[in-house]
Amino acid sequence: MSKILAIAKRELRSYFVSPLAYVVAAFFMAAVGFLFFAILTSTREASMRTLFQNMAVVFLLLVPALTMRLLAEERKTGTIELLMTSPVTDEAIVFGKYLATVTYLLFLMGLTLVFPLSLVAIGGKPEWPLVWTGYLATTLMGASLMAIGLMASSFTNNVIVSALVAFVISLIIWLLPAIGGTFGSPISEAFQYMSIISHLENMARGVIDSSDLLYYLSVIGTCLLVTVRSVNVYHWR
Amino acid sequence: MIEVQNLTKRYGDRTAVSGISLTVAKGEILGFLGPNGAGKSTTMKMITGFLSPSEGKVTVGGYDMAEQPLEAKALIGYLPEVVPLYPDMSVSDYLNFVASLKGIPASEIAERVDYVVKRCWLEDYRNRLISHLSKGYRQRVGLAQALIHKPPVLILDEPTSGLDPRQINETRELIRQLSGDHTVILSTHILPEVQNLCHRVLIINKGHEVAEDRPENLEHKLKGNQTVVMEVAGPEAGVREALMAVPGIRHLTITPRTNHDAGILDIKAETDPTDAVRAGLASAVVGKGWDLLELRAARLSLEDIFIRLTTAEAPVAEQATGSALSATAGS
Repeated sequence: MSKILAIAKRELRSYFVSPLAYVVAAFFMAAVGFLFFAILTSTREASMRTLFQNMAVVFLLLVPALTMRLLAEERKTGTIELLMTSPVTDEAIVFGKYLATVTYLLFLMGLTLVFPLSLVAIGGKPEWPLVWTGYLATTLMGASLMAIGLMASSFTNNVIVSALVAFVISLIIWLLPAIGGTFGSPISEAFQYMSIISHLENMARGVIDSSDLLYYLSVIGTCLLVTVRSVNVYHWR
Repeated sequence: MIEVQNLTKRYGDRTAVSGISLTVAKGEILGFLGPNGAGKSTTMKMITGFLSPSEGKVTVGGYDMAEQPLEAKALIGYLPEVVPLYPDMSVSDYLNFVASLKGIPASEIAERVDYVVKRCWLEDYRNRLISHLSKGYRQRVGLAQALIHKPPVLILDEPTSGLDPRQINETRELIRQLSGDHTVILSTHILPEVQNLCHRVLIINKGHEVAEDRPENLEHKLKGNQTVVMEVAGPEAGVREALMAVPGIRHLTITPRTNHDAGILDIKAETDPTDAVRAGLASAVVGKGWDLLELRAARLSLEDIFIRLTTAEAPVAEQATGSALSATAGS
């Protein structure tokens, strides 16, 4: 456990000593802030629900940039050899990395608390339960995208390829309902269920359905398992 | 301490390492010697558990690397060929990270970092970013990293590469001091390093073990050969044919000179250690009417042994392995 934490800590440090963490945070806040402003002024409705969906779109673009280096760069520079010859399991390496990026995600989500709080500051009374389920859903969806990104990063030692693969996989899962719409109804429904965005919409309505939670947790679980297998294969190359 | 049996690594059709076996006792320094691409690094990667062997078995301190990798890896300090450094970290942050990765209890980390920083002459560089260090200092950080958890086994892949002559001497001295409590395998293509550091040498070529012995024995044993250096003016093919026909000759290298000396051949022949062979060589040349400009017997240095073992054709290599094994058994 302490080794998982050591790996996570080092990874987080490297986020924050490089400009990346700040550039991503600044871009994220600027984009989400602008969208928030646009929602407020155009609909004259202080809705957090639309904002959560918008955040999800921003994640789709940003997460690959956050996850692309995780394993790809370790392999490229050879530092993976240090990790894999230390008394640490492959699982611990993967979980440590994942823990670091999810911590960064929580940091980003924490920053966005200024939006509901700004509503309070101008005398609004947000429906807090709805806000919290929205946060839970958005965080879970971001964490799912990060698991996809981490998995993509394990497939290659080229960070650009890693980012592209992460983006393409995320986009396909995102667009599944649109793809499914071209088929008959049972397939269409299945595709709807597999889409990463439809569950966010459900939860942002304030309903915590176990099938939505299960969906995100199984995406995360599957990606992490594939990542562990993929790291395992490094031993054979 | 380290036991390796029949270690083999195949990549598709290509065999990188083929059937290497070795045993290293506690406190011993074993040198891997071989040209670039011989399979030294691949062998080390398999011993440290980074690569899984296609065949064979690695046991470190009684733990099978395939069965109990965590226990086995905990005993090993490893300096890979490419030093695994995070350029965005300072030297002490990096060493702290490696220390916790190796499972050193938090209360002992500071003390261990102090120790390796001193041991590897990094005191003035503790807070330096690794990206700002020169190659020599990075190599030292790599060594410090390998030592941090007091590993009983050290695997060092070209530990002196990139160092200046003074640093090379310091590093060798350090390795020699460490060998008391640590079992060391190091790889190198620098011969003096093997001669003055290693208790035993394993020469690897094209993934095969070519010879294994004490450095002085290797030299001694192959001194049973004699090397004859000749200078002859004559046609290369004809000279080769004539000389190979001399009884007692084992191996022949002919280098034609170029430029104004064209037509003169530099010849190195390895032969049985008898005077008759030299007489035979002389008359073979003179008998054909070529000019014999020089003929002398030379002593075979470790360098010659190395070059001969790693360039010799297969049957000769097998012969050498066979005699190396019998020499080991005898010693």
